[in-house]
Amino acid sequence: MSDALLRLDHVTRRFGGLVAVNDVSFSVDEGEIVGLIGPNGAGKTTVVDLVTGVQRPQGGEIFLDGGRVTALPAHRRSRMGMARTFQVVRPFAHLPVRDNVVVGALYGHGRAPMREARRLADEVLEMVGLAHRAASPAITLTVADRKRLELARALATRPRLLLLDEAMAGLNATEVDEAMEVIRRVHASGVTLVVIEHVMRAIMGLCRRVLVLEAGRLIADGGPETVARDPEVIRAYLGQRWAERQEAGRD
Amino acid sequence: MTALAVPAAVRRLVMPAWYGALVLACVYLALIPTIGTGYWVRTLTFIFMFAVLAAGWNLIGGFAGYAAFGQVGWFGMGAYSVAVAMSKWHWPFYPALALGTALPAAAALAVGLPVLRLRGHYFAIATLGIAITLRELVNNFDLTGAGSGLSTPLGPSFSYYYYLMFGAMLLAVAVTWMLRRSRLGYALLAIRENESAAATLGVNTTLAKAAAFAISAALAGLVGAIYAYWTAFIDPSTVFDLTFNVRMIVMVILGGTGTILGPVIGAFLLEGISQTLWSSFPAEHLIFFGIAVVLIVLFVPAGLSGLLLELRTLSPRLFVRNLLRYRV
Amino acid sequence: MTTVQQIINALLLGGLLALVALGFSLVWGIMNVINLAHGTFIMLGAYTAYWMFSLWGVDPFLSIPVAMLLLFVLGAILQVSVINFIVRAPVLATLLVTFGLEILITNIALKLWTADVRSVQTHYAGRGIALGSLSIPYNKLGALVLALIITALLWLFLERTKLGRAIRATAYDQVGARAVGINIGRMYALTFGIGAALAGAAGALISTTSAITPMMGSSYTIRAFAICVLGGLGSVTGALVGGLLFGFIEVFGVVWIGPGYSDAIVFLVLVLVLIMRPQGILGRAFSAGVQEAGGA
Ligand SMILES: Nc1ncnc2c1ncn2[C@@H]1O[C@H](COP(=O)(O)OP(=O)(O)OP(=O)(O)O)[C@@H](O)[C@H]1O
Ligand SMILES: [Mg+2]
Repeated sequence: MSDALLRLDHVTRRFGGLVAVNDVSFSVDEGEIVGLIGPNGAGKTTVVDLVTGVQRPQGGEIFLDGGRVTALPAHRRSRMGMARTFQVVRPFAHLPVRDNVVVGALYGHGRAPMREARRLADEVLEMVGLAHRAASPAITLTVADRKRLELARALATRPRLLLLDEAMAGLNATEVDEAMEVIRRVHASGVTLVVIEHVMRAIMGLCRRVLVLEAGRLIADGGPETVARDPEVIRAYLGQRWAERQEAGRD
Repeated sequence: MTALAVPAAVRRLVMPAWYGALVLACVYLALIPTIGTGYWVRTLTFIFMFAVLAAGWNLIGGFAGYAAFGQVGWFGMGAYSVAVAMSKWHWPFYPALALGTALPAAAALAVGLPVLRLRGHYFAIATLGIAITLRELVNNFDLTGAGSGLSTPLGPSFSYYYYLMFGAMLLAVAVTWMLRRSRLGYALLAIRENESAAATLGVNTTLAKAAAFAISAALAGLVGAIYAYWTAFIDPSTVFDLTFNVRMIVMVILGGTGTILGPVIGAFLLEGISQTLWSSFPAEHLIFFGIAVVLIVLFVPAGLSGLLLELRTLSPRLFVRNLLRYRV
Repeated sequence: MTTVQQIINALLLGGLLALVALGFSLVWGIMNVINLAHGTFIMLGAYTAYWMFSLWGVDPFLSIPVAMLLLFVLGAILQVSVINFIVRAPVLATLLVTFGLEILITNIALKLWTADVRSVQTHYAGRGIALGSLSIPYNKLGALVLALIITALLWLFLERTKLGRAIRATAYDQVGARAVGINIGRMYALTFGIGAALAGAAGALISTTSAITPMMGSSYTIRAFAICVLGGLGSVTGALVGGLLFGFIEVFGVVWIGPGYSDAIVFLVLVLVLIMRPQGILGRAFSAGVQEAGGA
């Protein structure tokens, strides 16, 4: 078969009785930007964890470039070209911002030598707009800057496949525009992207294809317009919104 | 606190003076055996030894953030390697020294792979267990003289050991300095700060931790090996002295965790005080030492490098703030 | 020696080891403090019994309340003056401070009482119940029974009294406990005091069966840790089960591997258990159940 860059084959992950990811299969071709959306708790982060090796599935298989990576440790997958950002950021808090990024450049897919890694780190920091904070310890960054640092670190690994887990949450409208511009440039440089976002404008603006998760199941896979008209997707989202409205009405 | 955010201008001004002072200090120390008394030669040899132990702990505890609590096990292993090789197998000293360095490193690599999967208290106590287990093994084997100890052949002069330990200390500092700038150094700091993030960036965390553990064991084994030849007699209770574990850690804390010279500075301070106390209160010095450990952790938890960073605001209030930081 | 005799020995030792670990487990479970000075409290309890016996002829079993009271006071003072300042500090700080205390206390004891090995020679020492070829020494049997009684009393205290619940609540939820008016610092002082008192009781019991020296403590600290890991951290049943398991491991370890390796055996088991089952074999944390109790 023609190999997709990433393929999930009936992947399942449970936490006790809860099935966070339920028999999910999809594939992502080289060069795509795929959106992954779904209500809170749908299992999006868990999918990213399973793909990047932070967690292991209880069932199913994951393939990168046709090779099975289901049981490989996270660092091996990174070396094969996967990178991600964490929704709940995990900076190296007491290291300078630049050193945070140098770690990604030294290891990851690129494994640059030291001098090259420093240069790459500066380049990436420039690109995400963090160059002016390069010498500050990461712990001193604002929430928005920490999101940028997540992205910078992931980019410094020179990934082939980059999974962004709500990298724009907490950014204002202008910052979202800037971030979208950065993501477009990353894509143009040949990186395949999976973008998780609650900001619909970003998904609609970036992705030709959108996957929808609800309660661990993949309920839709298609172009943004088709997906937006899908009755099941509407129910998943409206159901949530209605519930929210009812919560709000009670207060 | 931990990050050294010293302004570049200050650095440019202070650094040449600082390096000059270091070179002078080294020259002075190198002259001690010709100009100093036997007391100072002995005291400084001890200080160098602890500086190496502290620098070794700093690699695993300060860089990688794994609170190893049994480094004295590697020290004892190095000491016994030399004693056995020289007295039972009649090896010359240098091959024995190489054995005393390599064996602990290999052992640390082997036990490190499983034990470094543990964290926090569990890792600390498991490493303490390694030291206690090694002591007990030595206590039970005829090869190691069981509980009654082993003698090593009488060696050259005391200044010979002085220079050996001095060289070991310079080596430990050089290793730390190179590591800090190396690929592995970055990996260790990343592991200390957030291990899972390090792994997703491609760091083989298991391997990096085991490497740091092995290097720290090699340093401890190295000075253990020199110590065995120096004192000419070792037994399990002196070379597996569990208070050594605490000593080296407190030195690192005192000098500055995760820094390059911190462990050495801490060793000079603490062991200097300790040796002075020992010579004037041989029976009570450990009582003072216990008190010192408690006070240092309570009042200067970030060590001297922490104090330097807050130099501008340095006042008695800083110590009170340190004390109250974690109070319930 | 027959296997039945060894099983009896293991049970006798295991009950006592459960008490050795109990206070350590309480302190760890409630405050997340590994108290490396725990063994010195055992040592002080043993010396209390020794001096009461040799100065005034008081039977060691009758010294238990005195040892407990003295160590409760010492523990509470240490908590208020030292440990309360580092309870929430990183792991290393608590390890270093408690080890500093262990060095301090051990060396004060050495200064006061020298390194001489001492023992309590009661008139019933060496005598016991004989059942055919089997024998159960009186002192070991008494130690076992008292260890079990004290363990049961602690369990009742923690489960059935308001104060016990308040202590458990501080482990479960500090903020919540403070919100309902519990003084955390005082609760910790109480907890550490009780932990020390339990160690004191264990020490007094140990004085009837083993040699007493200022350095006797550290190997008990290590055992307490291993027992907690084996039985599951921070529960009375965990300490009990861990202690009994440990009794068997030590007795049969010596039979199969040889004497002189007991600490090595302790650690081998400890590391294996840690790596395979980090949560221990069983046991409910001291803090568990408070939530339901509080919510009801
Ligand atoms: N470690 C865990 N233990 C138990 N349950 C978990 C764990 N991680 C996630 N879950 C549960 O699995 C489900 C999916 O979580 P996940 O974080 O993947 O959702 P998500 O789609 O990323 O949500 P969000 O939009 O809020 O980020 C949720 O119900 C969550 O509570
Ligand atoms: Mg999520």
